[in-house]
This record gives sequence, C-alpha cells and structure tokens, in this order.
Amino acid sequence: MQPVSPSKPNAARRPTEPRSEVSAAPRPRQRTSQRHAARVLGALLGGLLLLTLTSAAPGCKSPPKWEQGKRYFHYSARAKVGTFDPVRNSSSYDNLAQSQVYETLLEYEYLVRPYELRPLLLKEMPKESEDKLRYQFELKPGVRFHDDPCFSKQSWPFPEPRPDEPAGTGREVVAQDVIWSLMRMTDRANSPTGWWLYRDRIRGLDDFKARMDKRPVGAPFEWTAPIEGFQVTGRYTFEIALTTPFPQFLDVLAMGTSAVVPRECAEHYGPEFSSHPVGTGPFKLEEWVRGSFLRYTKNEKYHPSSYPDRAAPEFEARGLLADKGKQLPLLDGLVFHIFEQDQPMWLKFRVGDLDATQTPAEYHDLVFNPDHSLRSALADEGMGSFPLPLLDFIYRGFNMEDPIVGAMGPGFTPEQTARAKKLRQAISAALDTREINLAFYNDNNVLYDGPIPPGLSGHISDPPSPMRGLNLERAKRLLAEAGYPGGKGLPVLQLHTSRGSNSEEQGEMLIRQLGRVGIRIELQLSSFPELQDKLQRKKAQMFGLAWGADYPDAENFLQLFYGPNKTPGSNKFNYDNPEYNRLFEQARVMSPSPERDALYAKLRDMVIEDCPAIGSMARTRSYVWNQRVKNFMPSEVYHSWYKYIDVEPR
Amino acid sequence: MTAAALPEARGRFAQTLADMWASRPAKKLRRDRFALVCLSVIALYALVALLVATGLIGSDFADRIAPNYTPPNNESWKHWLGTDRQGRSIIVRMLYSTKVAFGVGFVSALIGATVGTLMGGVAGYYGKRLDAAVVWLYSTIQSIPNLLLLIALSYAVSQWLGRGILVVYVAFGATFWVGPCRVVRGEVLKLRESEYVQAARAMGYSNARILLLHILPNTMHLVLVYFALLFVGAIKSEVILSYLGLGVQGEPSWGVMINQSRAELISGYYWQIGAATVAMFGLVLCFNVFADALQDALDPKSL
Amino acid sequence: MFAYVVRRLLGGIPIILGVTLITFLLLNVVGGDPALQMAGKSATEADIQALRAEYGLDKPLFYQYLDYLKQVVTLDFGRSFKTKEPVADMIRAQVGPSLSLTLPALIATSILAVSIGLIAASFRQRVLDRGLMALSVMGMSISFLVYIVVGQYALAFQLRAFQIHGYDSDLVGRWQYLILPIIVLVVVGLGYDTRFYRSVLVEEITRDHVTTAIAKGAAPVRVLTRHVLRNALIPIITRIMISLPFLVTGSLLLESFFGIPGLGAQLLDAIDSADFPVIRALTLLISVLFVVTTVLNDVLYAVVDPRVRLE
Repeated sequence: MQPVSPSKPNAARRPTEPRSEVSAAPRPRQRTSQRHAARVLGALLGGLLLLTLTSAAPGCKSPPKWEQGKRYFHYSARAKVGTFDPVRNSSSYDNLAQSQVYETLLEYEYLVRPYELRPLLLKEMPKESEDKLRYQFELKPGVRFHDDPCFSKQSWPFPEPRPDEPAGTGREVVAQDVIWSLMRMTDRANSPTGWWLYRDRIRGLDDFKARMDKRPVGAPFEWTAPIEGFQVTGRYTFEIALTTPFPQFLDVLAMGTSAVVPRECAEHYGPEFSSHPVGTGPFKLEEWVRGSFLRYTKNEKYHPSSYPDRAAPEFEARGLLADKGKQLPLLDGLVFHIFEQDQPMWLKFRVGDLDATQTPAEYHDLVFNPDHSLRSALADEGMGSFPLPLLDFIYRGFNMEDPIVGAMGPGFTPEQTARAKKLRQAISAALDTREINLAFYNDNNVLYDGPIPPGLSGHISDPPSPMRGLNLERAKRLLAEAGYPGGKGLPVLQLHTSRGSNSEEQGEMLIRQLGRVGIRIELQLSSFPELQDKLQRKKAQMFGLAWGADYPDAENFLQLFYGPNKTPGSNKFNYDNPEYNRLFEQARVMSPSPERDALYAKLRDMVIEDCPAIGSMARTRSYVWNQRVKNFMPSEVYHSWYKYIDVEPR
Repeated sequence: MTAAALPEARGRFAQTLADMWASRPAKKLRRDRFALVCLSVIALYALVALLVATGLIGSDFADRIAPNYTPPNNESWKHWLGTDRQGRSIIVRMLYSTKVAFGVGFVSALIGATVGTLMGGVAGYYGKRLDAAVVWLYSTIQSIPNLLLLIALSYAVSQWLGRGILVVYVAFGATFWVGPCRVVRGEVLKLRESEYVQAARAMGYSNARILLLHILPNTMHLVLVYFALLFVGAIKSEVILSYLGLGVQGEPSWGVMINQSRAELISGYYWQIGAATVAMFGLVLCFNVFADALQDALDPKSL
Repeated sequence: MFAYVVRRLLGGIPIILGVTLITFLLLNVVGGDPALQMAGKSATEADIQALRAEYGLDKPLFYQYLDYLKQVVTLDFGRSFKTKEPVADMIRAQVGPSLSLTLPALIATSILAVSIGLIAASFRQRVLDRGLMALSVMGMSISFLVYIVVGQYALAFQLRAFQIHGYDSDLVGRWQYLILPIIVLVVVGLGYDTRFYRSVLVEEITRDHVTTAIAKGAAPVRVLTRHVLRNALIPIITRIMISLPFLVTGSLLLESFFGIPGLGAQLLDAIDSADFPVIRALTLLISVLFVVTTVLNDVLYAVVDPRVRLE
C-alpha cells in the first residue's frame, strides 16, 4: 500500500554528487548557464538585502503613535506578569503591574524612611480601639472606579437605585466595596494567594470561608452574608473587628492583595477579570502584550491627591520635593517592558529606550566605581543612581525533618538531634558568604545573622555571630563532633535550588566551599514550581531560597520558623521548637515597643543558634535612571510610587 | 580460547584492519587531505578528553586561581585564557569540557544509533504489525516539538535519576533514534528482497541471524554517517539544555560556559564566551567536514 | 483524490492518539503536581486537595486520560492552570508573534539557500562552491546562543542598525523589532539548508537530460528553471513542508532575548509551571498540523510530478 513515496522529513542529507560526471559536461556552455544563474540569483539576493537594509534604516525607529507628544516613562520588569486580579497576586511583578491600576486603603509615604503608612483611599488614618481589636475606617468621598462597560444598570450591586449616570461610568467607591474586596479572598474559586494573611484574624471570617468552601459546585457566593468582623456603618464608614491583636494589620491592608475592586466587574468578567482590571488608580491598563510589555495611560479622573510635602532630609537634598502639592499622576503614561535576559535590558537602557532600570550584577562594574559611586562618564550623561537595600532574606535552609541535617522533633533521639545541629553549624561555619557576595553581588549585599534583614527592628549584622563563616577550624571541629571527622561517614548532601540567572554558578561555589572541610554537596536545580513541589513534599534536604518582606515588620520573617506554619505553610524548614512557638505567639500580638524588640531578638538568636537557615544576605538593588527622569525614588516594599515620577518629553 | 589460538585471532583482527585500510572507501578517505586534517583535529580533541578522563589535566576546574574576571595573561598556562566571575581558570574549564562534550556526543549518538538501527532493522525486516508499530512510534515522536520532548523527558527522567549528565543522555537518546531508524528501515526494506538474503533464507538461517549478520552490517555506512551527525547534534543541543538549566551540572561544559557568560560581553569580558565558542567551533566543524567526507567515501554510487 | 486525502487524514489519527498518550505519560504520570503549584506559598493541605478535586487530578489515571481525550475531541482545553485564561485565546494571541518571526525566516532561508545552492551546484567543485560550502559548515558550527548574544550586542547596540528588544502589536510597527531576530534565524538555518539544496541540485544538474539540453543550446535560464529546479521541487517542497508545523512554536531563545510574545516562551513557561491545558493544546495543534502537512506534501508531489499517482 505504498503508491506514493512516503514523505521523508529530515531525510538524510542527500548522497553527494557523482563527481566523475563533472568533467563530462561541456565547459563553455556550462559557463553561460553559470553566468545566467549568477545574474538571476544576484538580483534575488540583492532584493533581499535591500529589503533588510531598508527595514533596518534608523528612520524606521520613530516612536509609536501613542507616544507622540506624550510623556511616557519606560521601565523594565524582569519577569512576566501573571494576573491583574489582586487576590491572585503572587509575585512582586504582579504587584508592580497591579499597583498602578488598583489602590489600597493605605500606602507608604514616598519619601519618608523608615516606612510610614498614610491614608490612600481613606480620609484619615483608621482609629484603633483601646484593646487593639477594633478599627474604624472612613473612606475618602468622591473616589471613582475607572470607566468601564461593566458598570451598568443591570450590574448595579446595591439595593438603592443607581444614580442617573451614563452606562459605563465608573461608580463611586463606598464602604461596602472594601468588605466585598476582602471577602473575595475567602472564595476558593478565585484561587486567592493572600488568604493566609487574614486566616484566624478577623471575627467570623474563617467560619464564613469554611461554609463557602463546603458549598456545592455552582452555588453562588454569599456576598450579603453577615460577618461579625465586618460592619458597614455608613456610606463611607466601616469597622473591622479582629480575633486577637494584630499589630501588622494596617500593613496587611496596604498590601496589593488587599486592594479595593468593584464586585460587579469581578462578576461580570469572571475569570477574565484577571486580565481586565478596573480600579481606582492613577493609571489605566491600555495594552498588555504578555511576555513583552504593559502600557498604561493616565487616569484623567484620578481622585484629588497631591505630591507629598514631607521628605527625609537626604531626599529633600536630592531635590525630590520640587513638585510638592502637584496633582498626581505627573506622567501621561507608563510602559513596563518585560525582560527575561539581562543583556537586552541593559542595552535598551543604554540607548535610551528605557528611562530607568535595575543594574544587572554583571554590569555593575561598568556603572559603578569600586566605592559604589557612579562612574563619572555616566554621571556626566545625567544618569542618576540609588542603591536600594531590600528587605530581603536570602538563605540556604535545611529540612528539619530530614534525619541527617534536621533530626528535630519527637521521632528522633536527642543524640541524633544534637549531631544534626552540629552538622548544620559546621556547614554554616564553612560557608563563605563574603566570597558569594563578591562574585555574584558585586559586594553589594548586606551579610547578617538570623532571619531579620537590615532596616527592621531585631536585625543584627555586626559583630558577626560565631555561627557565621568563614571559620574553617570551627567547621572542621564541629563536623568531627557531629561524628563525621573530615566528612567521613557523611552522605552527599542534596542542595535544591531553582534554576535562575546564576544559581548554578552559586551552587558550584558552594560545592567548592563546603568541599574544603570534606562536606560533599550535590546540586539539584529545578524550575521554581518544581522546587516548590519538593518543599511541599518535604523532599528538599537543603535548599536555597529567599523571602521578600510582605510588609516592613520582622514578624513577617520570624513567622517562617513558627511551628504551626510548617509545610505546606510558609515554614519550609519545618522548624518546630516549642519554646520558639511560645515566644512568637507572645510577640506577634504586641505593638512596637522595646519589650517586643527584646522578644524579636530572642527569637532571632534561637534561629541563629539552631541554624535551620544559614548564610543570611540582603540584596541591594542598584537603580539607575537617565537624565529625562525626575522624582525617582525606588522602593520594593510597595509599588504605587510611579505616580510621583515625571519625565521630560522625548 | 587457548593460548595458541590467541595469536591467530590477533592475526585475523590485523587482517580485518588491513582489509579495511585497503578498502575503497578508506582509500578515498585517505586521498581527501582536508578530511584527514579534520580527523587529526578530532583525534587531538579526543586526546585531551582522554587526558581529562584519566585525571591528568582539568580535575582542578573548580579552583580559584586569580581574581574574578582576570583577562588572559601569561602568568602560567592556566592564565592564558583568563578567569571567570569566580576566578576559575577558563582554559582548564575549556579543556575539561572537551571530555564532557565527547561523553555527551558519544553516548547520546551511540544510544541513538544503536536503538535506531535495531528498531529500523526489525521494522524493515519483519514488516507487518511490527513495522506499523515502529513507524507509528517514530511518527508520533516526530510530531512532538523536539524541545518540548527534551524538556519533558528530562523532567521525567530526573525524578528517578536526579539531575545531571545521565538525564542528558537519556533525553538525547530517546529523541535521536528516529533519524537512523527511518533510514535503516528504508534500507532494510530494500535489502530484504535482495538475492543474497534470499539465499541465506534458503540455507535455513534464522531470521535473527540474517538480520543481525547479513543485513544490518550492510547498513553500516548510513549508520556511521548518522553517528557523526548525532554526535555533533548532541554537543550543540547541550548548549540549549544548559540554557534551560537542564544540561550538565556540577562540572563545566561548553554549553555551561557559554550560558554563564551570555551577559558578559557588554562588560568586555569576551574570553569565556570566546573560548567556549572557539573550542566548540573547532570540534563541530571538523566533525561536520569529516562526516561529509565519510559519506562521500561510503556512498556506493561513487565507488 | 478526495478519498485519498480523507483516508490519509484518518490514518493520522493513531499518530495523534500517540501524541496524547506520550503527553499524558510525561505530564500526569511522571510530571509535577499542578495543584501544589497553583496553591501558592502558604496553602493548607485542604486547599491543595480542593484544587486537585476541582481539576480532576484526584481521579484514577485512566479517567484522567479519558478527560484528556474528551478535551481533544471537543477541542476545548479549558483554561490555563496558571493564568486562568482560555487556552484557545492564549494560543491565538501568541501564534501571530511566533509566526511573524518564523514564517519570514523560513521563506528567506529557503530562497537564499536554494539560490546559493544553485550557484554552488553550477560552480560545483570550483573555488566558489568550496568556499560557499566551507562557509555553510562554519556557520553550522557556532551555537545559536552565541549568534543571538553577539548579534544583539554588535548589530543592534554598537551599530544601532536594529531595535534591541521589543514588540508592537501593530503589524507594521512590529517589523522593526523582528528584523534582527529573523536575520539570526536565517543565519542559523542557512548552512544546513544550503548544503541540503546544493546536493539535491547537483544531482539534478548532472543528469543526462540536463547536459543534453545544455549541449543542444537551450537557454541556460530555461535549463535551470525547467530542468533543474522543477525536478528538484520534490525534495525542496518536502523540506519546507516538514518544517511548517513547528513554525507555530516559534523560537524559545529568540523570543526570550528579543521580547517577542510568542508560543516558544509560552511553552517553556507552561512546562515549568505544569500548566497541563496549555501543553496539551499545543502538542495537539502541532501533531494535527504535522499530519495535515504530511498529506498535503504527498498531494503536492502529485501536482509537481505527473508520474506520482494518488491512490
């Protein structure tokens, strides 16, 4: 049944020519055929070349229509944006993208450090009750959602009649909207990522969630169900009641995931709400080409809100208060270009297509002098720079339920537990974070002890704790005490990290460093979700990870070691120390005070001593911007500050 | 085998070698100067790989010898190509990678060619359902994007084998057999009907014997060329796998080196990406040229 | 003819089934657990269980495969696990960018490669031929990644001849961003194609009827087009056809270096995040295209070569 020669994809390269026949061809004739062939093909090739050259001509590089005559700020994002639904917000890039469109009740002061909250959608700061269990809020009146077709008579969610407005006009934000937005976090159908922040915090909310979780498939979400902790007291006023004091509550309300969304839009767009944001923010999403760029335009109806008039002295000295009092946003629009690679990002910044970016570690030496000041040639171009210390906890952690490196808990003998602890301490002493810092972070990282990064109370970096490397003598002694003299008898340890720009190289360095005392490491690189998977199954013996602050309080870092937060919670170490748990439970309900700081320090020292995580580092991000840009003061704790930026027209 | 039989066997082996040396393809190959140059370059690479494998050079690929990003200099031979961002010698890493390249190339090509030849031979010779099954299998594999299959396979395999070079072998082996399989199948379809096979059948030889001893050896010229091509393909694909973080781990390879230096060009640190590219260029180029010459020499048409 | 095409297309069903089976084995049996990845950083066991139930991941494997086959038959792959967008929409949005990169590259590569192959074949065994072939092999011996990195740095940045990175949803505006990646793609593929076409064309050019035609004084251009190119069409068409299905997946490396929102990057993303619906839809799409182009290829044979009959 093979009438047709079967097509042969990838058929082996054809047998080459029979050479003997070459000389048989009559020469002169062949010459003419060659000449003609050459002429025809020459024209063809010339045409192609011409096409290439004309398209490559610099004249073609005119700015796109939407930018002509407008002041757009071009910035780089280093990962894809996944969603525009605040409750599904799962990365700082989601946060960056969403924070331009959506707004929270509170935000951080642009130019004040340490971070300080101020009202955004609120009229004033909320009032806290004496027992720290009740908060009273009052919204700023007159704040409106962006105009969107989802606002109509049919979709109107309130019992009272809709005011006489044309369809598609964004309606005013009222107290009920805040409650609804927070309630969305209890609906599994929304795949919420921030529920853990609210779990066991708000009266009646957990019971409500449990009821919603049990509802049959397809049953509607009970938007109007009464929840004890949420009380709407007026058009703009509402109260939230907590189960226990939660000093970081207002910080959580300032997180992107707590943003206020219009319920009818979420319902109208359903799953598409994720790519169809309707917020109150200073910008509107105009175009989203996934994997390439996001473009925003100014919200012409942005609620009255002005450039701040308060600034830390060093920011004031930089001239950052020049625009104080001006109505926001200052820009006509915003473009976030998405880069997966450092090279194009940097080149695009250098040709002026990007107005600001983060300096990739590879290019740090091109930009900065050894003392971290800007190179003079670049300073002369008008480039600006700012080293932003991140609230960052980069570490190598251990699975405390692993029999060799962890051995913590009831299933192990005290002797096993003690050996494993000595082993972790030995690894800590053999780890040379200074070398890692020098090779991969241009000596820009802050090396510290324990889990609390610089900038938060409870942080300690100086003097280094005795646990911190490099101390080869100590490492060797501890290793011997653990029963593995010179590494003898110690199996090869598995270090799991996610694939990334240079995680493989860092792993290679670790292998070499620990190899010096006889500890052998095998590197297991995987994708981030795959690593997540291994952590969830408690299969990662040693792992390299980082935790970025959700809000600027050490509690956010200390909870990583709290027993009840064990996997699948945020405590990937599965560290479960009764004493630690007890002290943490005390500290978590305390307001900022010297007593709380003392407790934080105690908790930190327990982590330092037990070494579930070692080699703490906090990155410093070197932001740079070109001479077009004004008012640039980066932060990664919150992302709604692009409204303060201004640029010269191109 | 008795002691007396040994010299005889050795003699027979020598005779076979001599026959090969005197055969027409070999003569033809010997006339092709350029191919010979390439062959000697390959031999040189192989020698380096051998030296690395025996631990004579390159075992210190992870050592720090100078400050980070030291440009090429003359301090010692290890400094000739400078250092990378961890201060490790580029030349040592480049030489060490030769071994990895030969490993990846040889093992993957061997798996691919062997599996492909056997499957193609069985399918072509026995025909019917077996043939349909093999054709179905390779058509299926062919219609899945190669990269997807490679990545998915290396994920899957790494669940059992952990990360590392084994995964690379398996992933390449599982996708590389398709090419030789098609070609060998086609050739066996032809040979199956040839007179000498008919004769062998008439003499009552078993099918397995006919296939293995009489038919497959006559497809070797195709398989040999494919082997060379797969070898090159493996070395080049390893760069892409390394880019994805799925390649060789814990030791350097040219792919790893190119990947680790892919952003360094702007800073003027050209030596790592340059060294790895040139080293790979040399081997791949020579293999390509040699494969061509081999094909010419083995092509029955030109005999 | 019609009956033939239908029969051949039906014959492709086992291949498509095979693809679904392999995809299923690689994803559901040995791949990661998407529920864990969807659940986020602080999920509880109950959340994860609920997700598994919601997506049918807790069913026995056989039933999961049946679910998959149902998706294949209804062509409804639902929504992406990761972005929650309908898979069909995602693919529709990203096929365009991928094709606007790979299709022009395929056309340019084929034209250039056939042309150079023809020149080389006409001048076979001469310096020009050898030079061209040497260049081809050299071009093939450099890693794709090196072309991209060096091309972007030297051509786009230092010479400012092209855009460095970016994309425009507007078809005209997009061109300026695509030209450099297309050139890279052409340069990478040119060596292989040129060598292939040269050997095909040499075979044709040295056939007796061609030498006779030349000897009889036929116009050389006519000889080249009528006798040589026309007879070489079958291998040329085959080679182009087999690469067609894979054009839709774009180019992973180029897309990530040049910011082109195509399917190559999407596919990698999907694998990385165990986004089953996306991977399933894409592999199905490609295997269907594969079957279709194979049939189309054989039909084209009959068109260009009257000796081939479709039965």
